[in-house]
Amino acid sequence: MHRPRSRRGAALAVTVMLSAAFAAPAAATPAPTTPSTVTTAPDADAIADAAGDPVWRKLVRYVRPPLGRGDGHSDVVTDAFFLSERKPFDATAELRATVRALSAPAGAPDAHAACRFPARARFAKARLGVAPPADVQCPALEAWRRGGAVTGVSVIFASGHLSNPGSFYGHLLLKFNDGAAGLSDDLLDTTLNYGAIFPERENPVAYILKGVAGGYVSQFTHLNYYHHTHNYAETQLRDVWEYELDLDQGAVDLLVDHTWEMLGVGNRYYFMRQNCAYRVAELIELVTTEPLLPRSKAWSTPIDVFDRLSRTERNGRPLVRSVRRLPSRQNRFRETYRALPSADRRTARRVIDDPSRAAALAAASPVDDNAVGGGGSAAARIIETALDYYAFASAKDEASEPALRRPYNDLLLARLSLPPSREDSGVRADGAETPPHEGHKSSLIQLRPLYNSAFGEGVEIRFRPAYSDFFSLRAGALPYSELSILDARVLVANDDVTLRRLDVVRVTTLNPSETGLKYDGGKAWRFRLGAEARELACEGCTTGFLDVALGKARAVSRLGAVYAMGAARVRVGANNDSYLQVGPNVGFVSSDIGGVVVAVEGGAWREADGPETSAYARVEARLGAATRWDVRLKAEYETGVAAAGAAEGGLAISFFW
Amino acid sequence: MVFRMAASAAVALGALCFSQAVAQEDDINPWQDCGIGAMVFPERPVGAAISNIIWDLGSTAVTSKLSSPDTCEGERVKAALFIQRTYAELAVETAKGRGDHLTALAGLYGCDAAVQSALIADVRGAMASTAAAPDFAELDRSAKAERYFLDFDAAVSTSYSGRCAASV
Repeated sequence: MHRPRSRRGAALAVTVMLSAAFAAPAAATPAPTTPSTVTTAPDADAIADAAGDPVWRKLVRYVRPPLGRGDGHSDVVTDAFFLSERKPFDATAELRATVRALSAPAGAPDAHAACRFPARARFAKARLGVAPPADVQCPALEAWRRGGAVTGVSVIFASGHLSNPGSFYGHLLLKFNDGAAGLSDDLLDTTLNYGAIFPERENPVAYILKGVAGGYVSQFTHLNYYHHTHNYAETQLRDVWEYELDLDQGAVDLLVDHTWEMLGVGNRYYFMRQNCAYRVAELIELVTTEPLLPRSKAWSTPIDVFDRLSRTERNGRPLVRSVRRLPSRQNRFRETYRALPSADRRTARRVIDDPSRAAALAAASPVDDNAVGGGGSAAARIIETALDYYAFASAKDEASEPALRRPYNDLLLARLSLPPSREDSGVRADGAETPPHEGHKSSLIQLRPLYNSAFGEGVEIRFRPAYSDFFSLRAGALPYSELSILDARVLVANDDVTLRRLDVVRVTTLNPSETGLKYDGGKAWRFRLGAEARELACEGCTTGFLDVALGKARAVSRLGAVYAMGAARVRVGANNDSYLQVGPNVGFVSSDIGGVVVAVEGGAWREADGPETSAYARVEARLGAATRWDVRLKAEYETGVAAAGAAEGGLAISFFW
Repeated sequence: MVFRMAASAAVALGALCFSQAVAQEDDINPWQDCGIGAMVFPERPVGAAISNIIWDLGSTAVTSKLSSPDTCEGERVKAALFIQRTYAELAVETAKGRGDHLTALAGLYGCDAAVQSALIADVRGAMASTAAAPDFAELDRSAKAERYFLDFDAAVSTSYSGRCAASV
């Protein structure tokens, strides 16, 4: 297991005190109500004082006013979340109304405010001594609490997925761990998921625009964990990471109760900031004093949350107790295939090519071999590897799935004819991969002094809010891929400052086949949209562009991947200076070898309706594997169309934050 | 909400009705009687924006041919939903002879840990027979999941009913 190092010793006095106060009744008695009724209503001053408590403000989703002036508000948009009539929102009025509602007679089961707002009830009891009547009955809340069986909380990260903009940065979930269940039974644990609610067949353009501009309401929903593991690891072939938090029972109970309050409660969804990372962080912040998202950023990414989680302490201990990984079905295949001895790998390829051979392989397997290492015979491991291959192939290529049913069944029958394995081979591959929080921080600032043969010396300043390129530390990310949003480069040269390049969106994935087998790997593709200098030689000649490429990549042992793509690029400049270019791109991207990554690319462009051609070549290397900085060398050459060709070289230093 | 409904129903019906519901539940095939076969899980939701999912174990997902809320909310139906959703994992793990999904499924049936190895061995045997049938390979996933449920359910009720709390 990965154990993140503790780097901060923040005091948690207030939260710990409240958490401990909350813990007492819940830990001792998971009953929905507290045992006594308040006899004296708290006075106005006490309520006003308690309403300023950070925990109360978190419970009612209080948002501070801009620059600290004027009234704050709650960003919840569901009226039923509020007990006070007062508009606009007032935290003190809401607490006053809550106290009044908690003190009301019990009424029907589940109807009392203590049933609807159990975390608020804990707060009111701890801070104001207010408790609901003893005969309040909350069977639905008790079911949610699972009779007090929830003893831990984990944060789940589903790694990024390039099929949809909403999945680019990965996804976050909160999982309630049932203490009565064993490790394997966590598939039945309850998970909290946050996302926008949108029409089933939403127009993609509307989806993006509304997602960015707050056009959707979003909320938490709950599902058993296995729905998500199946969806992510088995269907979308994404690795899933679990960060188990080190929380005392009082904090766990408080989170369980507060999430109950938040079910069915809507917020406005903003893709860049108030997204799943923001809301899950907000939940966990109820039991921490440190924010889990950097206040310095106007955007929220899951990686930022895990970075903060891994550096946060609670009660003097690291907040993250352990990290474990559930590999995708495809990665399970790759890892078991890689672990086979070379002779067995060759046999596995033959079985994958022709699964009808599996029965003969199983029949020839010596029975005694089944005891070797507890993991079954060589034949069993080979057939299991082939089964994993067909399982992920069926998920990856739905159109081919019917054709894969019979070979899959041959493998199933062959493996069933052999004794069961005594060890699970790599399903929970703890420690096998670098966890997401150990990669580069999500935002980049880069300075690159350079020399250009056409205009001389200059400095390129680059800013990228998120997220990655071929040189990024790839912890938890899709290998050989890049995903950048608003990646801007400004050139300072000859007393001028010009926009050299702006990738509004840049997505590239090489999808190399590691094994060379048919379904392992996919098409290499690139999509770029933005503006950039038309040629390397010129300053201030910015044009808009749309660049798409499609091709194929192949892994070269474990050294890296080579690729070849056909590309098309539309440039849109001023004065009708618009044209279409097409041409080939070929390149190589190395894997991380001792902290060094090298990428080489060459290509040519030809105007679709003219004779003009150009060519380019570039090489870039990253030196260093720190999470907060690196050094990059870059050299490139380009033949010109409008201007003469140019060569450029520079050394960049990058800072990640 | 699901739990709220289930709990309210249990309180209202009382112990006698609850017993009747259990007896009925043991006779049903959740694919045929609870509409599990017609369920469409959101296999490829749109990214992070996936909130309009209301599926939950043994509850709101069961929508069509619903004979009554009680017959379609027991442990067997939860097990059936689990199998319908994770048949791909269960098939591979059953072939291998172990795995988290197999353990979770035995847990849903309330089987104690001591019988799990023997139960899995029996399920492997049943699956080998079922999968060897000429038409099995070409069945779609839902139909295979139903066969798997019938095999698992039969294995539990035949040999382990005293060791698995959710069986009769």
